[in-house]
Amino acid sequence: MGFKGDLEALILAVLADHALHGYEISKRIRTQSQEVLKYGEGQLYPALHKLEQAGFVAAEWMMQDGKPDRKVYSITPTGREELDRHRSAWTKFVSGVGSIFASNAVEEGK
Amino acid sequence: MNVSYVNWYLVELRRRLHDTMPLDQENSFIFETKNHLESLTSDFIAQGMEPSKAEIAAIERFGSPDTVASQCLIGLRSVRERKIIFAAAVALFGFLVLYCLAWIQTSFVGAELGPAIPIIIALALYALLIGRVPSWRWFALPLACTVMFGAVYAKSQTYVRLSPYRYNGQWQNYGELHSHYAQLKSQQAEAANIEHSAAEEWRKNLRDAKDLGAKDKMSIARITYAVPSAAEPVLHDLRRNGYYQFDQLNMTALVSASNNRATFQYMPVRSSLELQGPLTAHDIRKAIEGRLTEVRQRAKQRDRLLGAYEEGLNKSVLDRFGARLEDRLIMYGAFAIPISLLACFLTSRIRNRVRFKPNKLRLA
Repeated sequence: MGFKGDLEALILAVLADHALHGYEISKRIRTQSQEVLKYGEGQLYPALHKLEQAGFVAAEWMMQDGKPDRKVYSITPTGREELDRHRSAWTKFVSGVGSIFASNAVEEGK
Repeated sequence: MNVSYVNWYLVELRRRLHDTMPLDQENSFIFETKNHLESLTSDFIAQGMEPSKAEIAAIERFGSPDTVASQCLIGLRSVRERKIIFAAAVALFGFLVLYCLAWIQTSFVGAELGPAIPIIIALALYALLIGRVPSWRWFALPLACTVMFGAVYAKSQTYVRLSPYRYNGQWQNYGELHSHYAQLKSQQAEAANIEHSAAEEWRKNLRDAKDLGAKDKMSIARITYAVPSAAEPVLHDLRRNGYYQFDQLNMTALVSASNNRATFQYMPVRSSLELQGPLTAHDIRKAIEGRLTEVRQRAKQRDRLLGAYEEGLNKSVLDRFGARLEDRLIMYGAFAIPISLLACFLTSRIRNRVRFKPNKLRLA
């Protein structure tokens, strides 16, 4: 089983604890992955809109005094269910790949 | 004028996104991109970069406009298709509703414009969904539909034949009603034609009678004198009362008369009347008046029937049968486009008004 829709999964994971705007989501993905996950940040917004239309995240415009408005995204209950599915798929993927690597290592050790 | 790289980027991105997604989504996307790039630029400047270089670095990290736009479309295409399918379904539903209404009252739907109405509804709905007036190519649809149905309608009346019509308390086939009407009209025209030719014929007879020689004097006497001797007072009465003009007297009341027997013929409707004597002026007058009343009643009945058919068929529809095809097509075609445009403009305005539009979205 593969791990699909990784950017969407990362967005849901980042939004699991806080409601955030696009730039903050992007920053968190970068910092929390310790600059390992790099992607064109322009891909973030199409993914966010797709998640919004699918009902996995909800968006709300926040007014800011003297600053441009911000669209803040938060995860919805169905989004949490989707995140759980992603987590479980990722766990299976990691364990499957880990098992193969582990058996390779054992064979090389012999 | 200071045009920043970020603004240039946003203009390019908007150009690539144009007409591919609802306007409010496009605005929202551009606005978020602007915020993102400005925040990223500020961060780079805070790290010690020059502003112009910071903007370029932010754009590089964000991705090229082509890549971002294509990513955006991949995500939205299925949504757009769903909306088009929905609009088509509504158009089909609208057509069925209009067709049902045509069963109740045909004049509700303009025969040529009618089929274009569901397309206009679909275009308006599409404008409502995406928040902008569709491309001009879409407006060829109602025009083509109007022209096509107008041509079919004019040539075969298929559209009319599809609609039963309530007439005289019963459901009637519209096409049959029309054929009855046409039959009566032709009868009326035939009657007028007979009247005309009969009048000509009798005028000729009278002229001939005056020119006849001695051989036919007897006939002339019978025509000229025999009948008038008995009928003249009656005919005089009728003339005085405005029933006939003088020429018509001879045409109407005379065929032959001898002794106590007289035959009258009312040529316009080929109605004859034979009376046997002894005849008094009163008898003749009564008989002629009786027959005339009968004839008039029949004519009235025919006119009433024609009137009823005309009413039943809806006179405006009948009038259109007589109008030139190209006039009708121009008229309805000219209606279809502005109506579609107006509907789309209004619905797209409604969409954009009810959706939230963020402030400070200004591009150079």
